[in-house]
Amino acid sequence: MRQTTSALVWEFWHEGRWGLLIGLSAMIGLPALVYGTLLLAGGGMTGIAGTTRLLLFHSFLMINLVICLLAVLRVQCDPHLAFPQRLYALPVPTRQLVHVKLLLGMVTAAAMYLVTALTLNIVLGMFEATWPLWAPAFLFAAAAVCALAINWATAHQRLLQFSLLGGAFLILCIRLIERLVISEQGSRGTRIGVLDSMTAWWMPTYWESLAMLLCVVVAYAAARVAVDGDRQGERLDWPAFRNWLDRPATPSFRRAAAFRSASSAAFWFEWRRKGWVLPATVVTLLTGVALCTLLGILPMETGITALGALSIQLPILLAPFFALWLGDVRTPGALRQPQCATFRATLPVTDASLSGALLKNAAASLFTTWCISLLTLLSIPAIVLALHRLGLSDQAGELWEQGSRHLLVESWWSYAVQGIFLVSISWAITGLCLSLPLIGRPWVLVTVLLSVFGGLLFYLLSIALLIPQHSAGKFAAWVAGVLATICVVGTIWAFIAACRRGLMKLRTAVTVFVVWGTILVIALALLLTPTPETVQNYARSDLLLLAVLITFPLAPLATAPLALSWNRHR
Amino acid sequence: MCENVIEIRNLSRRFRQTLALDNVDLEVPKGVVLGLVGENGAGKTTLIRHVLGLLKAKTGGVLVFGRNPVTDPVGVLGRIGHLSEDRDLPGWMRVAELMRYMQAFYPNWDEAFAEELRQRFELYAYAKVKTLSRGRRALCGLLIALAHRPELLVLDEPSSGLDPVVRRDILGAIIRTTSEEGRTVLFSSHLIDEVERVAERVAMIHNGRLVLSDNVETVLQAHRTLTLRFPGPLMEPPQLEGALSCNGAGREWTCLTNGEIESFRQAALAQGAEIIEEEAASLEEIFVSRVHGGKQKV
Amino acid sequence: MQIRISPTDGIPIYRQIVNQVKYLVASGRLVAEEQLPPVRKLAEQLLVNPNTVARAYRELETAGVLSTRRGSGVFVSDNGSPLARGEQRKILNDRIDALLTDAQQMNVDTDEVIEHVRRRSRHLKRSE
Repeated sequence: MRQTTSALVWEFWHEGRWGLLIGLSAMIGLPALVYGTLLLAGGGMTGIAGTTRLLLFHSFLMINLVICLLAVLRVQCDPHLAFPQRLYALPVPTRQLVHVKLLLGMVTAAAMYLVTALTLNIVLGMFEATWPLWAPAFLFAAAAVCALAINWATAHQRLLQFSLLGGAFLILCIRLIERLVISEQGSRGTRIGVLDSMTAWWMPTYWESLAMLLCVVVAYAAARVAVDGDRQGERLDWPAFRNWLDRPATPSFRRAAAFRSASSAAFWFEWRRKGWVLPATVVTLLTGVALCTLLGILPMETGITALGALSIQLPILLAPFFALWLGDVRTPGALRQPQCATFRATLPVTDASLSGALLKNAAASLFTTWCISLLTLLSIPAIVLALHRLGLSDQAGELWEQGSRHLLVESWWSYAVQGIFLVSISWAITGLCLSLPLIGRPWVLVTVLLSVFGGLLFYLLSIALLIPQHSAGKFAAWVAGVLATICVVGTIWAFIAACRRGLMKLRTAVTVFVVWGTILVIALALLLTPTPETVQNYARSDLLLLAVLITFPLAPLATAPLALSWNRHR
Repeated sequence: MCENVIEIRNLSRRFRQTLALDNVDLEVPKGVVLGLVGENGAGKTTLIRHVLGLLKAKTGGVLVFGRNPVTDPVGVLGRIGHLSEDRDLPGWMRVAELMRYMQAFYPNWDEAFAEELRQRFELYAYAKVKTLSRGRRALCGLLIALAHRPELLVLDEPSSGLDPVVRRDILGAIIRTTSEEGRTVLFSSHLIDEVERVAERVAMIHNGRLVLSDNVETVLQAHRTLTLRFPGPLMEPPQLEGALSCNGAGREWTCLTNGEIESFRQAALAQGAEIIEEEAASLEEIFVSRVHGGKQKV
Repeated sequence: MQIRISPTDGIPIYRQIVNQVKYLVASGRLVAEEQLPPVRKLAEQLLVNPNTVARAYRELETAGVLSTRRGSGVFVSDNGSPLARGEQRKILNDRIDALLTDAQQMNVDTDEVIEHVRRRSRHLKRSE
């Protein structure tokens, strides 16, 4: 008995260690990134209002929960998100398999959260910001059990699987937002006393503990039933959710006309395969929040703020992960073979056009998502005004007064500049995140991600511990300068390498260079024209930052073909 | 004047520690059916991936239609029809969608012929590829390989894991392709009786080395099985010049020779053996004895 | 036209086709002026390389069993009779040689073999 358990545990660790380590570094790295930026901008955690800190904590809790669950699910389930079939051939009773897997999932999820919280507390603790330990750990453990049970019970029925997972996630979000509101009301008027509101979640409430325990018990029962049935070949069949997407279409299925060209066929392929997911996800989430607001589940003010915040944050946050997923060009079933899928690689197209289809898809997805965001942002005031004028809601009136005062302070011009800035940065990150998995060598991806987060942590630690306060600014400027130079030089090298390998015509590279130069000159002119004295106000690092901001969005045009070429021909 | 469709010179390839290909020289003339034979892991797929440009030739050179498949994917892959070993097809597409998609990449795509193939292979046009059985999936892959009437057909283990009915369909499709003017076929298989029937030339790979590369007829004529009767029982197989392998026990031993029949007869007579039976060897026996002859102790 | 190919027989495939066509002509299952399937069709039917079938047809043509007519196809030659008899004799010779070899190995002499043949022939006539 003990030997089987230890064998299963060894297998779990051996198979999943890279995924879990990457998940863990993402869980630590993302909050560290944001906190660190705020530290530098705000000059210390005490400068940040309690409400903001609460909002940050709760947002990161959800994000980290998703990352943690993804990592655990990847190890405990097979690529189709079902119970791994090969374990059924072992002479091990089903209950032992289920117990071991569920326990491992629970312990790993809780441990990942605890490590994250402890690390962040140590790094940021000197600024009096601490993350609670135990209550969220229980939440993570319970969530892991529930997610595993849902997956095993609804395997091979994608629609049901995602609906249940999405529904559970939404309920959790709503509960957390309620919690946030309670904590916020408790912390209003305090600044240093933010510790008190944070401790609101050191221990879960009575009802919360009961709910989590109930969920775990139900999930355990469902998992046992599902895996028992699966082992005997009788899957739980949910008739209403039969995979009608997979049914053979009727003969009246209209056969579309032929594609105009190979590139339009390639674009269609990528869009149908993965490209549509990002806009669809953002639309679903925004619609969900909007419905909650309209139905009164969320208070009007929270709902509108959330809608506005989400429509800007979602494209920025989700796009990199989406690009990492989009750039995965391996064969879907054979995940151990990192090379570009044979079907794709043997198409009679050049590397440049193959990567071009992926880049165009990433751009189209991102552009569609930003359009949706813009639409949401523009429609919020319209809806609020409509509600106010029609007298349907009392809160709408207040909001309209608040909002119009707030909006008229800043000019449209600065909004436009900020918008362009955000869009181009998100495109740059998306394009580079697309190129990384396109290389087809997992060790490169892991190295880059770990070094980015590691470098960030190192930077934050040195700011906190090594560098004296007065020279912190200079150090930051120096680091920024080095990074900016690396980016610009790296991009130029990428373009040269792409031209030399024949992946890009010299004409294209020259055009890009000319465009880059023009934009740089125009931007400098715009920045410097107000008064000549402002030249001294702009530190060298700001100008380098500007150069990076203009260079970065162009880099994917060269890195993506290079990456694919390195993958396709080994 | 027969130009070579595939020219491989001094090709070697190492993956970490293992030597997958060891100085391979191969020529495939136009219009020929070449069967690539070898054990699992001998290097057949590696060789095929070099031909398709999925692997760069680190030492030596690969030329397909006189061009480098790595630097000119459009010119080379546009004239090749390929069936991969893992039958890699996008599972979410329907068969009709897949045909429409592939049509965009090949200017020579023959829509009527593709439809005829689809009906002959009994593939339901509106079924998703992931719902197809293994055999149907292989036939689907073969359909999109054949529909643009390629000059070169490259099949990696086309019949592996398939039932006899589908195997007949695939072999029939290969034969129909070769009947058409100037089409070349390169297929790898470890079903040697198939290679014997369908191929004109055979190339045997063992541990990355090209052990044999010749016309099937020449090979079959050169190798003979001879049964020898010794005056006294032998404990060990006899050491005879020109024998690839010797099987048997006691006084009677059956040996396979590789062409030097006269010197073998002399050597046998010198050891006092009497040749009581002589017959032709099948390709399978030739292959097995060549492989076993080179087996190393692990 | 029923032809069976067995690749592991030890006999080259084209020779098997040649032998079987000769047998069919000799036994009367292929009559004079009957058309044989074209090379492509037979190759598909037997699942062998068309060149093998072409070679078999060529050899049968030089032996006079088949004749090609331009544009029409391949037909059985109509000078079958003496050839048929020659083929029949050859087939019987092969069988008799095999019988005699087996008899020699079992140390049965020729007179005994002939006696056995007569006895079997009477047995066959009785059971008809």
